[in-house]
Amino acid sequence: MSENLLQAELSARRSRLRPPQVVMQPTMMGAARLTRYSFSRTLLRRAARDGWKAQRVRFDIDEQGHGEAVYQVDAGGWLLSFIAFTTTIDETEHTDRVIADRWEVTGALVDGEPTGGFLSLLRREIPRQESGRFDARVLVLTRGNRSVRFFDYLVNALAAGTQPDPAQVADAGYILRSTAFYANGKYGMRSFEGFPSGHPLRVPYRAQMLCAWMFRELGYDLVEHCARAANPSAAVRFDAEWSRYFGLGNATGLGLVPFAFKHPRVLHAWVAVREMALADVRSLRGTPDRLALLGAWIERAHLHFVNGTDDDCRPFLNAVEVAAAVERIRDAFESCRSDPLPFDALYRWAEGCDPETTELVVSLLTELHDADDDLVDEVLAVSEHGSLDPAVTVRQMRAMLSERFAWLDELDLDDTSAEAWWWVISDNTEEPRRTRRDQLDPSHRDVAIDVALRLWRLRATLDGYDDATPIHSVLDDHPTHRLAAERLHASDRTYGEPRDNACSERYLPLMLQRFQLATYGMDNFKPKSTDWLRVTLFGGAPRLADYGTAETAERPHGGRRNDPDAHDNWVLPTRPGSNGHPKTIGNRVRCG
Amino acid sequence: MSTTVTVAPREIHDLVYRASSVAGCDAGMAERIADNVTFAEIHHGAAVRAFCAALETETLGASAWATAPDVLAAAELAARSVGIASVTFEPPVPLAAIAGTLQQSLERGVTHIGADAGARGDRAVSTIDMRLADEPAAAARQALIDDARADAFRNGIAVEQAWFSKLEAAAADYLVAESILDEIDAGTGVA
Repeated sequence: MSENLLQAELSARRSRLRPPQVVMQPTMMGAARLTRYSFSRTLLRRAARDGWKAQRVRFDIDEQGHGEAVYQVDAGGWLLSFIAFTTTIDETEHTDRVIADRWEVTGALVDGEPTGGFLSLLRREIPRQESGRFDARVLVLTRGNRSVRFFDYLVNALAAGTQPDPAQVADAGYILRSTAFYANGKYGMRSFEGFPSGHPLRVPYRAQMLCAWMFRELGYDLVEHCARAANPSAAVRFDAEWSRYFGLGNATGLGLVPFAFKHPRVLHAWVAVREMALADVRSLRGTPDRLALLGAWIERAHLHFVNGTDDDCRPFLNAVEVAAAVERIRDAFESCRSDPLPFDALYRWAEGCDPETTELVVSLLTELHDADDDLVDEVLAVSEHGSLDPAVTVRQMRAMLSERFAWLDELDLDDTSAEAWWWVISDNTEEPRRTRRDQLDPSHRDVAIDVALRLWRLRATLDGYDDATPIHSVLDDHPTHRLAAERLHASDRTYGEPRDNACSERYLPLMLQRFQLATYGMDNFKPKSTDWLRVTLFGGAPRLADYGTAETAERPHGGRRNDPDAHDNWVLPTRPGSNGHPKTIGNRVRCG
Repeated sequence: MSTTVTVAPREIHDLVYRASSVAGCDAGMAERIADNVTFAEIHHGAAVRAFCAALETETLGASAWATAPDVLAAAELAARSVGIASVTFEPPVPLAAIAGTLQQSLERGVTHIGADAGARGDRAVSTIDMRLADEPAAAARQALIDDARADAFRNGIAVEQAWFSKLEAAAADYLVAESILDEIDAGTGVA
């Protein structure tokens, strides 16, 4: 049903959509930025619109920050709890890699209230992480560490009765950094498909986002608690500027990549939502309200990036370089203002720029869009069910190959460098990785995301068959093509395929990782190698108290509770202490 | 009574895929075996047991686990062409090896006789008759399938602990030692 809905929405915009040969290029995916429809944004809008109530219900933490805390959200009658166990470990044991075996924070998002035997199970199993065994009441499992550089500094600053020095925290952006969010049936947890109809987490990655949002809250609470414990008479809380600024850090490795290559219909839906929004906005005329709104977002972006650092973020741009791009966008926007379709004109200008500029413009333009969030949630719930009909003929297979995979011709797939890497799962916490074929033979242990190679070889094999031959007969002769044939059948969506070969000598995982992270709503991309990077999530976002009950009236930030507009314009925060403040950004004009 | 462990459907699928791969199956074949076993465990039970038993006694890639679904696919095409077709397996095959494939045929309008909905996954099947489906009956069957599937995803599936542990052990060889991968990375300059 949702696929039909999505396809209908796309069909209505067919002539205005960017083509996959642009959108699905690795360099474009590797320039993606969060949008209004990134999952962190849609979560918090949903929470505001539906009047979710969030609060901390238990905080049994000692002066060192060791103990147990529970946060709860009443999500329209569904009670969800985040339970966390905190400790400290030696700095030398901190690692960003998923394979660590000790963490300063371990936690889980669970269904209902953790009490009695269930609480005992959580206390025993959560700290064990991948070695633990859970049941369907557990929805997400996570862990992370304090920021080595900034946690103690922030505690000391607040304990001394002062706010942090912006020059000291630079563009830190987070207090705690997570390294994994496991869900969807892993280790016995609830399967995504197990959320019943109407459940607030029956939207892809919403459970993980909710868990991350409360994980971020724990960071704030730990710092303020430790500061109070260190100096009860003088310690202060974060002031209004700082109390939303920090997000949750995240270190992301290669685990994302297999997902994107294995789920073409999911990937299509993620891209399609953004592309529909862009198409709609490009069609808009430039009313004063709209022009002012985009102008405000451009200014906000500039303030955000210009106060960042010039760290080496290659192959991405660092914050200072992005700020320069924003200045060019600002200039271009000024020359487009009088165009009958100024947003389309701005996009067309950006198309001629580098991918980072193009996708930054896309991100900014989508802020003018206001689709029905219920519709967006629905089209993201994709069914991947369905199998290849054995009666499909070679002629039909050739036609599908020509329509869906013509881009394989551009990848030099017969060259030996096309399969320099293979993808593997390591025995330590089952971390997906890649390794070199000339160093280690796969021996049937490869993660089959060599989509381009498999489809290329299937195409060559089909050359030896008559048009009328059913694929069933081909697969009888060549069973090793089964996966490729099934993929060709399943790859029936415009934006389903990253146009890249994950096994190529030249393959750069960061490109696809960045697209996925931006879709989740992450920002501040800082690559640490070709294979992993650090990012920030929920920087600038509302806090739990912004969704609190009447009884928890303690709200340091002002503004109205549970107002979607008041809870959506939080991205691209400006570093406290910076020169200039972002203009208040008004409500958008419905155009979705 | 044997001890059970509640597992998510994806756990069965992932482990069967891995075990099939290291038993020599290509990815497509391993995927199909995993689909069949997972479907059978949800709707019939005892599928993990049947699969693990096969791993101990058979060469998986040359066994009925790999080939029987292709035989059924040919029969499905015949049934769609002439209305009815029959398949005989000699020796008989475990229902767990074909249950998911039979369901796919049903979704394309071809029903079967010879593998009852109430049969266990380790039951040996010797004959399957396939014919074009009567729509109301197929819809009723599909509704039962959907309900059982939803329940499995919501609450998990109880699997005998001993067989699940065997499955985990069989799948473990799919993983490569972290130390080996680190060593290769160090030698090739990967951070």
